[in-house]
Amino acid sequence: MNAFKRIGAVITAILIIIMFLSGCWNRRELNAISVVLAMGIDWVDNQYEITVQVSDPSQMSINRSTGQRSPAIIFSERAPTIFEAIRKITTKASRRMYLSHMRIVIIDEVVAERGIRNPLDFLFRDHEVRPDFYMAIAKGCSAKDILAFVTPMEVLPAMDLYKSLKVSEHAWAPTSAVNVVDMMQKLTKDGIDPVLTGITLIGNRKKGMKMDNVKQPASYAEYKYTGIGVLLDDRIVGWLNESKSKGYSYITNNVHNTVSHISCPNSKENFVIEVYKSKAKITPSIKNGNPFIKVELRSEANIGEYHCQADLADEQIFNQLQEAARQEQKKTLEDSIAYVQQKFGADIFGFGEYFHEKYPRQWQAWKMVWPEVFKNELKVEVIVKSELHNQYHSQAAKMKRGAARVVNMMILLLFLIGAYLQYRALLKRRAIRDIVISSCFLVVGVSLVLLKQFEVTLPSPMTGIETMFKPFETFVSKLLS
Amino acid sequence: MNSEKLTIRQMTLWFILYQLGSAFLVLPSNLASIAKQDAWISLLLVLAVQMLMIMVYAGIVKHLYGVPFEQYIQTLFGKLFGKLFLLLFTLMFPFLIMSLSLRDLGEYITTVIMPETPMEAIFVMMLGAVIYVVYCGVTTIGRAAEVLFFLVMALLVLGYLSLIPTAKVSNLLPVLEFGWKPIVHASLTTIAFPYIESVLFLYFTTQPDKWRNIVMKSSLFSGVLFMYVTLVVIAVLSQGVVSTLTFSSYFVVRTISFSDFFERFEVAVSVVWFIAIFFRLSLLMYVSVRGLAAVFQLENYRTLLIPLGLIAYVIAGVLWPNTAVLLTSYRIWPYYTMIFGIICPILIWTAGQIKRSAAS
Repeated sequence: MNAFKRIGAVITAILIIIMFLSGCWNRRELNAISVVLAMGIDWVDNQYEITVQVSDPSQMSINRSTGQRSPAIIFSERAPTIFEAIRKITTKASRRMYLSHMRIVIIDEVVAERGIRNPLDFLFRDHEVRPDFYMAIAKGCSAKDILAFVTPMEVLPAMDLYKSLKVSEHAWAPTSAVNVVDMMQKLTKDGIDPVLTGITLIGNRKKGMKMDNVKQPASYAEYKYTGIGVLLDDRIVGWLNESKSKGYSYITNNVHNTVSHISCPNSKENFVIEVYKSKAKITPSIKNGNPFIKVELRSEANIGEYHCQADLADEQIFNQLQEAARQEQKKTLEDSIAYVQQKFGADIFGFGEYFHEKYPRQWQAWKMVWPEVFKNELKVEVIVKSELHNQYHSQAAKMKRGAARVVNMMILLLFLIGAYLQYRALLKRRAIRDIVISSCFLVVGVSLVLLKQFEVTLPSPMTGIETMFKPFETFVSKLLS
Repeated sequence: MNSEKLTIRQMTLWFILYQLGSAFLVLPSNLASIAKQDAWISLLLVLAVQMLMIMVYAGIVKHLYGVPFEQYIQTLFGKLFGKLFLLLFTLMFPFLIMSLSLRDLGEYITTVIMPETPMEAIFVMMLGAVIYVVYCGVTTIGRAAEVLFFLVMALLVLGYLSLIPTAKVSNLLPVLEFGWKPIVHASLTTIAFPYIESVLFLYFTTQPDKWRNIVMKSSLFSGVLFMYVTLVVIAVLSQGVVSTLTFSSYFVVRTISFSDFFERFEVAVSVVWFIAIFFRLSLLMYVSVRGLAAVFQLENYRTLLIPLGLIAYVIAGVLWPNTAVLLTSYRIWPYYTMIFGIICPILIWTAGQIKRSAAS
């Protein structure tokens, strides 16, 4: 019996071990793959030229020898289709390209003019590719140039490109970090056209591709994300400048934080607002058979820099500034919409989709001719209800206020517990007078805390002191200066 | 409960820490914004005035004959007026200063160390410690002062002695560029904050004959320390820079950098400040609750700790909306405190004198 048990236990153990020790079916060993971080797609000699940027594994270890070898390697190959080109690269490299960690895909302007659906198809179909990479269009240079270029900040150029796009979308707004999933969605919908951010190289390109580019503080060449490219269906038709790109970001609720200057109401100087919250509400309606869109922008901003003459503390002046900021935003939005409507007729704002949602029947009639309708018949009204704040009021401050309220309640609870314990002890000693007087003070304290909780502005004792003693101060200051 | 004895040494150290608290960080900037590079001279003036005031306070101590201050006031002015006086005095002076110091602490911590933390959290940590220590009694505070004083001094010495190599004497010149007037003007702030507050030390007269010595010693010690710090801060940073900073004593320590090793020392200054302000707050709390307990004839002042703490917590939050207002308040504050620190003591002293001559 015992022997059976032992044999049974051994077999079970072996089975369990086998289950865990077996290898993976479709495994890729690390030393047999090279990790592709960025891909460039160009159109050269009537075929695709695919450029991949892979990291040099020997340069990625912590104690790497700096300066001897480049941390990133470029391979490129031409073929009529993308898949072929990628596989063809193995004729040049010792390892197979592994596409799961791709961060960014740069598309040449020529490819974008021919339509980006075909190149995207491969990237969507391939099982290795994770659809979380960004896309951008190389403007005025080839995608290969951008990938071959040595970036100053990050060791891996692809990471530099990726992070910069992400950060600039969050903090600056006139760029659009387009994820490939967004792209695919917009391509398959009728009422919205996609956009892609442009990227270009400035400076001396030849020198920018050497390691020397990062060997002195001022690089020979830099990359730069420039404005938003408008696509009609899947072909690029034109570019928006900075302010119009910002208008686009406002309307599509992509402004997380941005900064813009506004001229002072009464003088030639400027002031700068930092928009930290922005929400555009879009309401479609049909007026006399024509489509009509109401864009209502509500944003909150701080004054970040102030060069005007007028006193900020004056409420009237402050209202003027707020009005100026609103007018500026309104102009930005209206200009952006009008420009896109007249010049391209590409509904990058997705107004069509709002009609699709609200008026599905009417949409069936417009669906096929939407670019024309968008261009000629659509009327847009922009209403700006932005608010300007004088002091620091950013998201962090708001969270801080929330936290303060929680802390407030906890404090009240703690103090009440403390008071209860104390009163219990006092009651035993029959110190009634102490309890009564102390609880009077406690009632005052508790009501003050509650007032604070409901954010009632309590008067400061300092204001009284200030008004009473101000004359003394001015007198003494005069006497002693 | 009444075994609340402090040794002379404990008292001296506590008073020194009291005077360092709060004033230590803002003082050089306050002085330099008016007196420019001669800020340190105005401290001499401050000490001279302080010595004069101590004479007045010591005169009052002589009248006390070992009776606690709050009882003495009631015998001097009569029950009703004495109580009224004590109530107003306590609420408008020590209690208000307590809220102010608490706010100072919150302001400092949230501007230079933890900008995302709500000030309320800092208030409650400090208030909790203060309430606890006052609940434990004066003896506990005295012992704590004895222990922590040397830590404070060690950190200060380490921080501010290592600044000497970077100090430039040229930053302190020319002496008396703007004459005496700005120096006198600047000294007003420091006379009021913290020195005039020595009137609160009248609550600690268990050893009447030593009292004058204790207060003089502590004032001289903190005065010399302030002078040294002001000198170093201005010599390192120059007066133009100092007057634009709010917490210049803190900022100056950030400039320390010895061979990439001895640097980033500024948090030590915060530690010093935290400790000093703790002793400051506990003294103010103690004095406030003792005063109020005498007014309402409570058998134990400890019952008032929690309610007063709660009220101070709220008031500290509403004192001023932002740091800009704080600076104007600093300007006006001296004139307000002079009522309690100079006029009241002189009044009490003369009343005592008249009463004594009438009795004899």
